[in-house]
Amino acid sequence: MHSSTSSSSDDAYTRLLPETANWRRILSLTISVTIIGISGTEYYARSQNYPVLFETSPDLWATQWFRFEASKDDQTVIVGASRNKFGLVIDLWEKEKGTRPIMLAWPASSPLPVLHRIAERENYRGTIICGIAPSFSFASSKHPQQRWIQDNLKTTEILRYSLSYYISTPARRFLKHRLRSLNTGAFSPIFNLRDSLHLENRKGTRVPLQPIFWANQREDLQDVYLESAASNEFMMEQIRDMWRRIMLEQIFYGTADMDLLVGEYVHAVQRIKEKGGRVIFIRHPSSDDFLDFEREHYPREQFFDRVVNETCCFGIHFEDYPEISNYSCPEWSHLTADDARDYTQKIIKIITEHSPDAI
Amino acid sequence: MLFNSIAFIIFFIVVVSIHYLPLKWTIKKVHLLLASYVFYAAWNPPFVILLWISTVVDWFAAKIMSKEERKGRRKILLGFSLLANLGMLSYFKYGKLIAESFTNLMNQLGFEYAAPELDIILPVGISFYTFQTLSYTIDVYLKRSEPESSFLDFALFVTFFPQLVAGPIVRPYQLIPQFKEPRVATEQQFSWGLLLFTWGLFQKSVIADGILSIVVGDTFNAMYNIAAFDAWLGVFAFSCQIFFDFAGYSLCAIGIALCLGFSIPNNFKSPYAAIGFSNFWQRWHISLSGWLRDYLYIPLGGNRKGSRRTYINLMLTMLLGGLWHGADWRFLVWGGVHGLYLVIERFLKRTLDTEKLLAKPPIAIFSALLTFVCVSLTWVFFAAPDWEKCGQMFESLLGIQDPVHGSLMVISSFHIFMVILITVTMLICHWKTRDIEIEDIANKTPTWLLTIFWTTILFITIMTGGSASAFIYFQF
Repeated sequence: MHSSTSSSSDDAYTRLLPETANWRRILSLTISVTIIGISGTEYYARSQNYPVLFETSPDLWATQWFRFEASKDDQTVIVGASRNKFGLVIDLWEKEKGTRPIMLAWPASSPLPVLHRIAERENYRGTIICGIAPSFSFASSKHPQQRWIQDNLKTTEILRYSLSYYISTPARRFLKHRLRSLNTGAFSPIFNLRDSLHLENRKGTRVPLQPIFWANQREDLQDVYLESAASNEFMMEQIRDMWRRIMLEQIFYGTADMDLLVGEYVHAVQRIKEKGGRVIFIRHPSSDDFLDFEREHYPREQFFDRVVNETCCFGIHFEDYPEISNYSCPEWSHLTADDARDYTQKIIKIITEHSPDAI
Repeated sequence: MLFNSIAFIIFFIVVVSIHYLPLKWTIKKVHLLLASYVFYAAWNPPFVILLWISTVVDWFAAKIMSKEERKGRRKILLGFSLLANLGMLSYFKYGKLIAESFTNLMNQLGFEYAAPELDIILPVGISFYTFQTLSYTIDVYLKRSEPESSFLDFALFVTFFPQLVAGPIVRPYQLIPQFKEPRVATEQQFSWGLLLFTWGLFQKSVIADGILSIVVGDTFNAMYNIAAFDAWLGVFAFSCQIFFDFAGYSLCAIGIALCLGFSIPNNFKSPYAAIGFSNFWQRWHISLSGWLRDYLYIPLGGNRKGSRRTYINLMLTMLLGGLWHGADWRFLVWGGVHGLYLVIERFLKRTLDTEKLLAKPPIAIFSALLTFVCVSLTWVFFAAPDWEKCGQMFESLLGIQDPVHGSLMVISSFHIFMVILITVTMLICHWKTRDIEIEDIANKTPTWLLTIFWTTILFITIMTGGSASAFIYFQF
């Protein structure tokens, strides 16, 4: 009979250990060489001026949401998909308007779930810049990516009471801002292996969204296009492959029931307006095959214009303003860093001309 | 708290530092217990109450049971413990499934019934600690062991953080005696523990999350049928992912415990080198298969009541083992298929002289590969998010195209290369190490090579970084 009450640990389970004698030497050598390796990478990262990069993870979004909850009632926020993260430069926005928007946009996402959640905030009377990417804003609810932003909202509620989150977030911020070598986009061995192997995809492959680092994501969810990426045709083609897959998915899952969807937008916007808030819809630029696809499958009269008209909000469609209608997106969907600065300035000007007290 | 998170690294440094302070052993144990509660509460604080309920119920049930000689009374006490533990497990894990299945059944029978929507959050690791604490009560009931005399030691046994949320499921006789006398890791234990922890993290963060999870996501979530080549790669990618994820977690748990001076048994032993399915279950999630064998299969009669009854017992054990993994009928089918494999294997062993056949190396290698392929096919029930995707994957594996859309190629060339490289390397490593322990490998490795290996995996793990994602087995 096993005795749990044994007074000694003689009969306790004991793991066998390797007999290698010099553990102190192995451990100290491992730690020393690793520190030297990281220091070397760090030196290189700083000499090449690599930026601080934060990986896309729901807790990063949750942090921005908590910032929004703690902000003033007239806080400006940006919601929608990744074109907002690339195209609207919040540093510049703050410089121009004196108020820094909170970025709540998320890749491949519809703005609607976040609009609904913002509408629940008591006394909110700020401006919401609602970016419309037709492929995600008007996609069928069956589309798997429609879940992403919903998952963020759920995760946010879990993280609200998570000790891990409250330890990890400041610790990660501390490390990331001090160690440039923690830029996984530049130094991850897996991504470096991928880039050095340079294997072209089989013809006709439709790869779903993958982590390809053609931009630098900051802690505040701002994406900055990497200069080197725009000229890297191999990388651009890999990204275009992902957009081709997204287009295929759009055709497969179809579009949303627009009567229902517009009703949802109207309901959310009405609640925001009742408290003094305002929503500005923006259709950001896209180009080439992606633009052709969006024109064909989401004709603006039936989609973007309808939402703008029925919600009685101000809407900016890039094709309506000559000054913002001629950008070219290297991988068809996002603005480069230089274009984004120019675009943001013009967007601010358009908004200010239309409603000076908007932001 | 995830092992692959910054929060855990900080938590671990604090816990180890306090553990090595010159304090009384009882204070150190109280510290480990509190640290374990903090570790668990870091996910969702209210669920710590479930741990307390399990601890208190089993403590008193076993205590009273040990003094009670009347069989009926002992049965009632055991029943009370089972009811409390399995009741919580059923509510939190299977509540939604039961409600949905009942609604479906009623609707199929023509009754209009709609069950209230249950929005239940599954407490992390509930299946693991429920089985761990149940083994204590059952052992006392069966008089296999005496009840524990120290509440602190028992509470620490239920809650010990390295293996609390995803095993290994440790038996009372393996862990409780280790709490009796002060334990501090030796230099050798501490270093080896850190090496195991690093190796486990590498398997999880770099191989499972960094490479394989992308391929699994691409193939099991495709909108319609995919090319047969992509489907087979997807299935093998999941076989590797679930191994590296779970074996990685188990290694982390063993390593962390070792750094504190405690020994936890192995949970994996080169499982994909198994020849046959009973051999597979002696190598995969060893602590669960041992639990099911001792507390379910043998009490049902094992192989002592004739061959027909043995087959039934095998099927029952595997079906329940399947359901233990998740609240979905897919897990039941997964268990059923494994049960069927075991029944067929047992039948073949009775009718053919398999031992003689398997003594020939080519046949042994072929059998191991066949076992790997068969096991991999059952993982489809695990990896597919629903029945529709499950069917889609099996059709794709057979080369059947979607009648409207044809089939998709979804894996990038880089990932094709990586999946093939990882699968082949893993199979060779498992075969080469099928009869030896990881400690033996370390013994045979020169110091310089061990240092290079450790440095390389540590450096790659740090540089891969990324956001911490949960271990697959947490959902169970």
